[in-house]
Amino acid sequence: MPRPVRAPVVMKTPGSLSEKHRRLLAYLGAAILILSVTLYLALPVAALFFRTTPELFLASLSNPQVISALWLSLTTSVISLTVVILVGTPFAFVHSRSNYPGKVIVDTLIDLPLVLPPAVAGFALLVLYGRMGLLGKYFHMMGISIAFTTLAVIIAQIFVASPFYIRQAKSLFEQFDQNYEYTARTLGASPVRTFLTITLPLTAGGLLSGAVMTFGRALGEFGATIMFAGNLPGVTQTMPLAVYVGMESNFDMGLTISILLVIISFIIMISVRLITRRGMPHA
Amino acid sequence: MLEAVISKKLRDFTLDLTLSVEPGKILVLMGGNGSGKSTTLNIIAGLLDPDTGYVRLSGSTLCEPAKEICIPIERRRIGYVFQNAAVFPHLTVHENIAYGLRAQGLPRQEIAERVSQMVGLMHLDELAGVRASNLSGGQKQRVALGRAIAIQPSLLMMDEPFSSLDIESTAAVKELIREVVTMMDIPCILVTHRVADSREIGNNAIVLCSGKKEWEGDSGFIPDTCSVCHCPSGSP
Repeated sequence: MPRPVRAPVVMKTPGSLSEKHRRLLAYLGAAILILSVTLYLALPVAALFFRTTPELFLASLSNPQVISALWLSLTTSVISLTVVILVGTPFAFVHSRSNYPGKVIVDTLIDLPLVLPPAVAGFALLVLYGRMGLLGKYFHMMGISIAFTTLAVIIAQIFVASPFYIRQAKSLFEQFDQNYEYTARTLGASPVRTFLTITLPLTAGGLLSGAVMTFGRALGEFGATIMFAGNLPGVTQTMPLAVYVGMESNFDMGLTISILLVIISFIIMISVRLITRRGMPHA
Repeated sequence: MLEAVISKKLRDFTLDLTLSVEPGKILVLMGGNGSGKSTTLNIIAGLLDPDTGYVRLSGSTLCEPAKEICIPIERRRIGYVFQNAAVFPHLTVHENIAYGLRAQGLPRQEIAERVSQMVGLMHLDELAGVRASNLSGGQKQRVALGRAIAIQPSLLMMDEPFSSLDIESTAAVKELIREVVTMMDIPCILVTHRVADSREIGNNAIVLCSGKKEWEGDSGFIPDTCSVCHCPSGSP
């Protein structure tokens, strides 16, 4: 006759934890982890705000160098973003819908500025457009200078920031249900009308999110700008460059601009989140 | 009258098909997955080019590679309803139906009249201002059908129009298709998987198997299985 199998008896030793305590410990561990990572990221930002007073912040805001850097950064970033959207959107569309030899290489080149150190990007732009550069020497012969001008700031911003928009646009157009486009075409719409009335509105949310990220990247651009455009107040000194100058000579100015950049960046990230949350249900 | 002689090399087989549909008649295309049904519709619509052959509609040639004739998609006047209906989700029912009419540059008054006619015909009166993304499957199919026929096409093509519909909506959409084809007196090609639907709605049917015509005849006598590879012509 087989012997009955007994279930193993778990002995509760005085040192063992109950399920309730175990869960409490898990919650505590998770809370510590979340808090420590959040603090690590938030404390340096918070330190900027603790270091100044509202009076000092407002007084520094009227500093002509701050106003000039703010104005230059905003105008160049808006111009860069406009160029990226106007050229990047049709480029991403055509690129995503066609197959051609070397497409993989073009894809890699689009992404390259994302991993390239900005200083290298600036140096490369200088080698190309500088007075003795590959193309720059011809521009120089025509009396056109690019390096160390506001145009150089824009070129540098476009170079480093455009992948954020193009990658996003490319991915949206690749995933887009083409039956919408085909339907529009069979109904009598031209390819351009189809793009403007169907493809663009249905991918607008994602494109907007890419545009906001591009604007943020252009606004924060430092390395390529200082290498290629220099640091001339009123001409090429954008906000990040003014922060660098402020750290050396005018701490309050650096602090004010840093806070301004933090606020703008925060608004940008919140915007992206809101746009993404609204979603791209049809793309 | 639609006449098509199509040959196109696809990845796994060559699609070779000859078909003709008279005005006011419905031709049902059946066959297993990947047998070439949707490719046939896409070639007729102009979304794909055949390697050889021709597509003629109401006496005019839409496509004939040998003579380098290829009328652009937007000028073929073919009402094409895709499998998922492809109703523009960011537009209202009214705007969806008006889309093709606006693209053709018709006067505003005429657009309003035609849209209102279509809205009535498709029983969409109460939904005219509703965004298409908020519609049910059956409502979307009716919008897609209304939008396709609003442009007064010379041919109506529908790819699996009943695939996502319940029994009630299927019956309603079938009734509408029959009504529209008879009223407009245009040829219609309909792709479906269900043998019962084909027998009920079609006049003629073609069963495709790996790009070849396996069976052709009165849709009331569609075989349940393909005699070549014994794949089902469709589901019952």
